[in-house]
Amino acid sequence: MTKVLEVFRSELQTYADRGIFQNFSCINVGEKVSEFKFHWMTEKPFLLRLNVVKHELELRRILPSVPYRSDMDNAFRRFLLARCAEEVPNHRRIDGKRLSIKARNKNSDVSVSIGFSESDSRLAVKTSINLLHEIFNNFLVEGPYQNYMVEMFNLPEE
Amino acid sequence: MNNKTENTQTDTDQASEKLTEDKTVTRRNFIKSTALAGAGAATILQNESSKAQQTDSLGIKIPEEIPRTLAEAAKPANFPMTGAEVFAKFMKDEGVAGFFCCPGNYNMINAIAAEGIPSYGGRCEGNMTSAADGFSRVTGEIAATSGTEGPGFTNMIMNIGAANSSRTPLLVIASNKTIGEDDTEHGIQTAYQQAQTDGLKKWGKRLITPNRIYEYAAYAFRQLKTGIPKPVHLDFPGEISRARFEEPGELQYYYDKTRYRTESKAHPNPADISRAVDMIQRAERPMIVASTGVFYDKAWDALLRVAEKNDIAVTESAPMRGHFSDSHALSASTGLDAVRSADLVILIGQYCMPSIGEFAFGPDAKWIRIDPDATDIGRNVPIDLGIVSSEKAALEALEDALPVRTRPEWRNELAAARKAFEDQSQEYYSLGLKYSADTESIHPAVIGKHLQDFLYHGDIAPDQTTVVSGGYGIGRYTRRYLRAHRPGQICNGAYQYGAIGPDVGYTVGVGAAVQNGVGPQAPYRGAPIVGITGDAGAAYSIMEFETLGKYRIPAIMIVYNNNAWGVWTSGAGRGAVRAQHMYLFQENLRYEKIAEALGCNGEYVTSPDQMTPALERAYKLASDEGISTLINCQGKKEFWTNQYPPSMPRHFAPGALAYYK
Repeated sequence: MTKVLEVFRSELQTYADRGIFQNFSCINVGEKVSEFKFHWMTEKPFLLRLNVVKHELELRRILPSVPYRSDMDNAFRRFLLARCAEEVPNHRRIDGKRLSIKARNKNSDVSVSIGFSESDSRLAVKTSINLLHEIFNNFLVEGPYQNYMVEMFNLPEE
Repeated sequence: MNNKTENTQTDTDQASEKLTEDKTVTRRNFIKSTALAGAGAATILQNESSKAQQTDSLGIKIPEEIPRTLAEAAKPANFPMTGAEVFAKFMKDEGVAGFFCCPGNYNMINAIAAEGIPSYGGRCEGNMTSAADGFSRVTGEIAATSGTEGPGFTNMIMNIGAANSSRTPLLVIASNKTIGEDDTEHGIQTAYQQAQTDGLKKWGKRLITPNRIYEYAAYAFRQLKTGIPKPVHLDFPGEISRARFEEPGELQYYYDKTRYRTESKAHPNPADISRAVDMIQRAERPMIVASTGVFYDKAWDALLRVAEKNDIAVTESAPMRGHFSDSHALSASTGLDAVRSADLVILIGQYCMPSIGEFAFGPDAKWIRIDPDATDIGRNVPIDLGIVSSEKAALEALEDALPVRTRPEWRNELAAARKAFEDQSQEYYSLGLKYSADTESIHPAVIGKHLQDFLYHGDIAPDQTTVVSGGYGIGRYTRRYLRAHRPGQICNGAYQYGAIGPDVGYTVGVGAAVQNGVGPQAPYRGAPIVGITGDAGAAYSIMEFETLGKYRIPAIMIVYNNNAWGVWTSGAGRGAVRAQHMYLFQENLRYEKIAEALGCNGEYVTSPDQMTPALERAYKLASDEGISTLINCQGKKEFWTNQYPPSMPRHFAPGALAYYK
C-alpha cells in the first residue's frame, strides 16, 4: 500500500469508526487507483476515486443530471470558487495554494477532482469530506434545489 | 401595546358576583365578567359600531348559558365522590393547567370543569387534542384532552401522534363504553382504545377496577412528570367514572403526591462534567443545541449563564422556541452558517434525535449529549461523551465547573453568520416584492417580512407576541422572519410529525395559555397571538375559529392561499399523468368568509401594500375586543417552482428554520 493510499484509507476509516459514514469500503481498482464507497447524508452512496500516481481524488458523479453550462452547473462552479475566498472562515476555507479543485461535467454528471502533493494527503482527504458536506448542506440547501433533491436523492418532499 | 387581561377562568368568584349584580347575561356582561374577554373587553362594551356588533347583525350570538356557566364558581369535589370526581380532583391537585375537549366522557369532563381547571370545548376532538398540545408547548405545563368513545377518540389519533413526536406531556382521557358490554357491539361506538395509541404514547391503561382509579392516576402522573414527556392515555369505561366512593378508605393507594412520586431528578456524574469541561475548553467553536428538555426543565436561566460564562454559542431546535433569545450575541438560531463551523456540539434535551446529516454540523465536529434517559444516548448520532442528567442540573454543574472565557473570533463569526442570514432574508423579500407585482398576488417572503416588521419593529414589544409557526411551504419563509426573544414565544407547529392540519387547534391552545397567563406566558396575559398556516392545513381545523370566537381568544391567523397542496409539483412532473387534479384546489377560495361566518373577522390580502394594514386592523380588533381574524393571503402555487427562485427553500436544522427535529 502506498503512503498516500494509507493516509486516505486511515482517515476515511476514522470517519467510519466515528459513525459518520456507514457501509464504508475500499476497493483497489488497479495498481494506481482505489475506490472508496460509503453512505452519508443521502441514501445514494458516495464514490471517491483515488489515483495515487496522479495524486488526484475524484468525487465521482456527486451531482447527477446537471446539464453542462446550465444555471445549476454554473452556480456550482461559482460555489467551488467561493469556497477558496477570503470571506470563508479560515477553518472552512479550501487552501487553493496547496490543493487544486476542478469541476467536471461529463454526460450531465458533475464530478469534482482534488489535486494534491503527497505531503498534503491528509489535508486533501479532510478537505474532500468537508467539501462533500458543504455541497449537500450548503450549496444544495441554499439554492433553489428542493425539487432536484427530491428527484435525484429521494429526499422527502416535505 | 402590552395588553393584559385582568380576568381568567379561575377568577370565577369575582365573575359570579358581577353576573349576580347585572342579572341578565348579555354579550357585554359576558365579556366583562369572564376571563374570556381579551384585553379590550371594556372597549367592546363602549363601541357600538364595533366588529362585534357587526357580527351580531349576522345573527351570530353567544347564548347566555356560555357566560353564565363559565362564570360559576368552582365546586371542588369531596367525599362521597364518583370515580370521575376522584380523577378530576387528582388532576387539579397535580396542577393540570388547561383542558380541551369535545362533549363525550360526560362524567369526566363535567367533573374537570367543576374542579375549576380552565376548560374549553371545541368542534373536533383532534383539534382540541392539538389545542392541549399547543398549550403545553408554550407553557411547559401538563394539559389534558378528552373525547368520547369510538369516533371521538379515533378523531384524536393524528393529533396524539403529533404530540408524541413533540414529546408533549399530554394527558389523553377518553371514555370507553362499559366493561360489561365488551365484545358485544351493544349500542354504538364500540372500540378498543389502547392498541390504537401503540407507538404514539409513553404509557396507557384501560381502567377496569374502580377502586384503583386513584392508584392509576398516580401511575399516569408519574409518567407525565418524570423522564421524557410524551402522551399518557387513560380510557375510562362507565363502571369506573360512575363508581361511587363514600370515603377515602375505599380507594387503593390513596395518599398525597409527595408519596406516590418524587420531584428528584438525575444529576450528572462529576467525572462526566470534568470531561465535558475539558472538551469545551479544547474546542474553538462550541455550540449548544438547546432543545425540548431545556424548556420542560425550565433550564433557560442556567443555559444563559453557561453560554455567557464560556462564550458558547447556542442554537435551538424544538417544538417550541425562545429558551435562548434570538437577539443574544451568542445565538446561532439565525446564524445558520455558523452551525457548519461548530467543532463541538452539545445536545441538551434533544429528545427527538436527528440522524447523521439531518443537522448541518460538519463531519469533524465532536458530540456531547446530555439527556435524562440513558437508554437514548447514542441513538442515531454517535457520541463522544454522554451525560445522564436532568438538563437543569447538568447546566448548573457546567456553570460551576467551567472557567470564564471569551472567544472573540467565534462571536465575530456568529455575528457575520446572523448578518448573512438577514441579508439573505432581505434579498428574498426584494424578490418577493417583484414576484408579487408580476403576479398580482402576495409572495410568502413578503408576508413574512411584513409580519416581522409588525411584531418586532413597530409599537409592539418584541417579546410580547406568542406565535404558532405552522404551515408547510409558507413556513419555509415565515420561520425565517419570526423571532423568539423569551421562553415559549414560538410554538413550532409541524415539528417532527409534520402534520400541517392542527395549526388552528394549536392556536386555540396557545391562545388559551396566553389568555390565562400560564407559565412563561404570564407577563403577556391577554395579549393577542398570531398563527400561521397554509390553505391545505387550514381546512383541517378551520372550524375552530368558532372556538376562538366563542371564548374570545384574541388571535390573528394568517392563511397562505396558493390554491394547492404544498407538494403540488409532485403531480406536475416526474412522468405524472392524470395526477395534477389531485393536488389542486379551486382557485381564490375565500377562507376569510368562513371566519366571518363563525363569528370572527376576515381580511383578504392580494398585494403587499394590503398586508400591514390588515395586520393593524386585525391586531386592534383582537386587542380591543378579543375578536380573532383570519387573514387570507392570496399567493400563487407557481412560487414553489424554479421560475421564482428560491422557490421552496430546503429544510435546514438546527435553528430558526428547523421543524423536522
